Amino acid sequence: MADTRLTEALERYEAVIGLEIHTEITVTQTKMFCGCPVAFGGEPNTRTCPTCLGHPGALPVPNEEAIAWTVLAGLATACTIAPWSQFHRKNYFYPDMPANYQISQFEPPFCADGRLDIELTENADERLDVATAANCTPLDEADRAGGYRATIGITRLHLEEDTGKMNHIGGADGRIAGATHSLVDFNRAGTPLMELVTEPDIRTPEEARAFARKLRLIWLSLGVSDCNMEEGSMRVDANISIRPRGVREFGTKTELKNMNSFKGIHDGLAYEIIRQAAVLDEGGTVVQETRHWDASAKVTSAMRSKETADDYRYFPEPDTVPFEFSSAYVDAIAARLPELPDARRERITDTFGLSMHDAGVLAVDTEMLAFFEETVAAAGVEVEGIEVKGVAQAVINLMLNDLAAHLNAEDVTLAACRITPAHIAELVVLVNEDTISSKQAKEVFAEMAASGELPTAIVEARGLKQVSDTGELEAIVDTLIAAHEDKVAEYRAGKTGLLGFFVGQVMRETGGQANPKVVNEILAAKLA
Amino acid sequence: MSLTQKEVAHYAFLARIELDEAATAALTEDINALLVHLKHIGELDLDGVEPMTHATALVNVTRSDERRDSLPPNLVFKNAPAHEGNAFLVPRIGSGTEGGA
Ligand SMILES: [Zn+2]
Repeated sequence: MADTRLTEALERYEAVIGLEIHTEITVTQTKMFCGCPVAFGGEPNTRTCPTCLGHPGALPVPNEEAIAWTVLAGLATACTIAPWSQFHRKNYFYPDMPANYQISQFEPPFCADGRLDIELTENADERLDVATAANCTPLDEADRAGGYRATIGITRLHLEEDTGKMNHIGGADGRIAGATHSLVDFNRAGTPLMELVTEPDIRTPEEARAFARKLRLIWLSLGVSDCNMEEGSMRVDANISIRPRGVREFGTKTELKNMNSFKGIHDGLAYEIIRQAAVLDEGGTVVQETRHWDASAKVTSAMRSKETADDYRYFPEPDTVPFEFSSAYVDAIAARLPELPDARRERITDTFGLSMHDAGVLAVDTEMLAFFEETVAAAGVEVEGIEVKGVAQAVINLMLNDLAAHLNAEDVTLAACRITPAHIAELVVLVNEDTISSKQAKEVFAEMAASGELPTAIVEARGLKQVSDTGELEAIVDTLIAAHEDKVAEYRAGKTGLLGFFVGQVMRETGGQANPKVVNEILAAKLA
Repeated sequence: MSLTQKEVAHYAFLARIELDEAATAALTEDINALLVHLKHIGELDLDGVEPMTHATALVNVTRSDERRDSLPPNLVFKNAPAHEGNAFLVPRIGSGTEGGA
């Protein structure tokens, strides 16, 4: 459920949100325009040279790999690749950029006019117009009741160089206010940086979070970046305005920075919607400004008044020459595209008959997917159709419930855990063949998680086998019927709820090891 | 069009270039001579001529993704007015400004 203050604000005002997402290309060996290594942290200014320190006369030369990765990223987000493009200088004075300009792109960027589909299942109720919005489709009831899919336009994806890192000394929380001086580290300066800008198609904080999550998964599946939000290799900023519902023109927007986690993206935007709604409710006007999200205080505060694009005095970078991307060049990069999360999910759904939700979990986690596929194979399922579906479903249930709970409780990774695909496969087969009941399977799971023993050995040692022998169970049922003639009569007179009593008695007689399915069948026949 | 000495001083300020009055006067004269040249170009019929951004016809000049040595620390700070340990030291940043591009 969404925050009630947010819901209340969204009932009267529609939020219009656009994202600006910077991602460092961390897969290249070297920086964008020089041969200094790309890495995180380390002793300050040890990975610098005249180019990334902005010395006059140094000649920046573009890294061909960084450009190819950006084109790949553009193709993965359905962008059109510009046949002709170039770098621009973006002029501004700030100590994190010693050349006094950043080499960036203006028009045309390498990639433009893309889109990304996101699926909303959490906090889907933040969006009030799913039924009527042009970019929304409700998800199938069977899949996720109440959820929806939204298509978000991507305006552009361009390549630039990252700035240096400032450390403000003497102020509170390392912020500039109250600082006496600042220290600058240019190790990060010149790292290839992709900037993706969305259309203002996003309407709720949850959509913004879903977009960032989805984009991160795509970048990770390409391998272009480690997308570490805490270390700043993926940074999400947002433009947000609100307008009364039914009004077409946009309100005044604020720019929100420092939302360095997925929770920060959602909570920062939710706060900003509630704040702007309160300003408008009081008859005030929203001030166009950049605001800083403070995750611990849970508030946004003003940073500086927004500069307009003109202030940057963009002009073509004279030190680099333009680019012409032939279709052969773009095709060769397209051939490098790996299976993306959506396609992978579809393949898993088709192959194993899993729900979109379960398949979605596997699609974004390579380690889980490998474990799952190995387990299904080890369970010996080669038949297509129903058989594979049943086993695959049993495997995924064990993985997402028992196994996930175990990993969580023990705080271990899948790789470090004692449980292997062989364990899960044996357990699934034991249940599938009615050797043990699903209740007994829980017991076996706990034991194998603790000892690492294989399920068959545990079942053997503990004598856990389920009694499915019809003759043995029939004899028990006959004895019961003879001993409880009164209850049998009541049952036959229509008190069918007594079936549970008989099942319970059989279970007691067998020490809980009777196969409930067989017991039910026998009872149904004998009591009729 | 021509620029006044005051305008040139303003642009020098924007570009963080320190100019004394004599230099400003000399530059104003030079810039105005350039502007006369641009005015001549402006008088030509340039309909249908694509703006050019570079004096060469080169395209796709890149380098391979290979490491080269970074600078040793003693050279990194050689031209810096101040540094503290391994970091460049800059004075307090003007009021109301926070965060880069
Ligand atoms: Zn460098």
